[in-house]
Amino acid sequence: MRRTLALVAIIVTAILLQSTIFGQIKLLGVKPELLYLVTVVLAILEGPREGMIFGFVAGMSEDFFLNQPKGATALTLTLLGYTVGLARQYIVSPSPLLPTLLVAVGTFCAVCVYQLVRFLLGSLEIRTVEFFRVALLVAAYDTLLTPLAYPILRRVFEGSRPQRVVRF
Amino acid sequence: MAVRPKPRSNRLLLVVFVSLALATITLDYKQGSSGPLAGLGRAGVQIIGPLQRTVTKVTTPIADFFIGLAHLPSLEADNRRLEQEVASLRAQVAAGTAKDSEIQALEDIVGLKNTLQDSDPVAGNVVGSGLSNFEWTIEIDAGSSSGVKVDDPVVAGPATEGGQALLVGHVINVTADFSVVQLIIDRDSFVGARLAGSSATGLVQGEGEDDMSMSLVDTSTVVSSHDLVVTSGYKVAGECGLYPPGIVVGEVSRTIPPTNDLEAFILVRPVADFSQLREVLVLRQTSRACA
Repeated sequence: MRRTLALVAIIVTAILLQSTIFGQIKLLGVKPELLYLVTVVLAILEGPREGMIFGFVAGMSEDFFLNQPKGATALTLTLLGYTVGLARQYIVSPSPLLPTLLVAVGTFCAVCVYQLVRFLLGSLEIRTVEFFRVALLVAAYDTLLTPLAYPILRRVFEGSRPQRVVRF
Repeated sequence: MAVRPKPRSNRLLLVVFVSLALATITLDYKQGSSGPLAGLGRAGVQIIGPLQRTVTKVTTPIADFFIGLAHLPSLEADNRRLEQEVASLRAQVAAGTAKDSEIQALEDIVGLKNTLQDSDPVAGNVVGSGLSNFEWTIEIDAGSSSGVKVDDPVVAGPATEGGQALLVGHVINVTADFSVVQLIIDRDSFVGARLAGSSATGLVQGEGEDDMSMSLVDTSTVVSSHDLVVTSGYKVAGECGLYPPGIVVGEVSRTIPPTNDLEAFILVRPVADFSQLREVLVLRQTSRACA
């Protein structure tokens, strides 16, 4: 219960920040995608199952504030959470840069997937240059925010993790 | 000890979620803005609106600080440029008066009237911007309880006599206390417009962060940069345009040499700074005004 509340609070906070302060502080005209970042971090810490569940719920929440066919972000973030969670299990690097790298690659790929879904639905018409420019900039912005967000998110996730009681 | 879920059950869950997402996309795609999903979206806007308003109040000074910081290196150059502009503007002021009457005369000739006075404007504060990088929208704290309807035009700046209203966009989603406004720079936004100098008409489409493009302009039109582009308010296929005539859309930034004999393209830079909007006016229209 406590965990669900913590995750809902994270989604609401991310949506609020992205639609207010980050609407004003843009990186070359682009906003960060905070829920993409959170999904990657959660998938790193908790694995593919939680990553994908969170991705789906977060994506649906974001979709309901968008005008376009709803469900596209949910699809993207489900795949993102699952893939990153799965990939994490095969990486043994103890590097502290790993989350940042995964956020960079994950966000870039996810933004490309999202745009592709929208393009196939006929609700997005942009040039190829613009397609990659937006994906790169969003990935860069999310990467910049990771060192700030990762410690906070880890505290929240680990603090709300169900206690495992081991009895002898 | 907790049992780790098997990969197989994970894959099953993935299939379930992906199917659910695809079902939602299909459902929403078919129902458009009238279905239950759109209704849920409106409920979301209504819930998050008050929170956005609070956050915006707190964060605007912080955002202003960072924006100021980012602009610091260009301040000196800005200052020089502004000084030059002041000098040239002083010279233009004298000519400006003449131009004003010229515009007035032109408007009279093509039978346009300033319909802003006819509509009943309601003010709204900008509480948030859109979430996405692919939609250019803002949320304002005026909704159906103050008479705002879908498709109502939204302007910024003085909408009074003498002052020039700047076109912001139109309302695409309304809840009781909040509405979502699609900006004219959104890629799905089309505005019927004309050049204030020559009265040539065209269609201005949003291009996101880039300058808007004005198409369907007559190739014989003579255009110079900084010409004002205003809404034309003409009828399209028997339907009145969304916007009343005479509202400033932007100014010409560049003309693209015509590639055919049918239409010329012009790039139009918006005059309003959409990321810094604080307050806007919704023009509540009882009946849409056609020129």
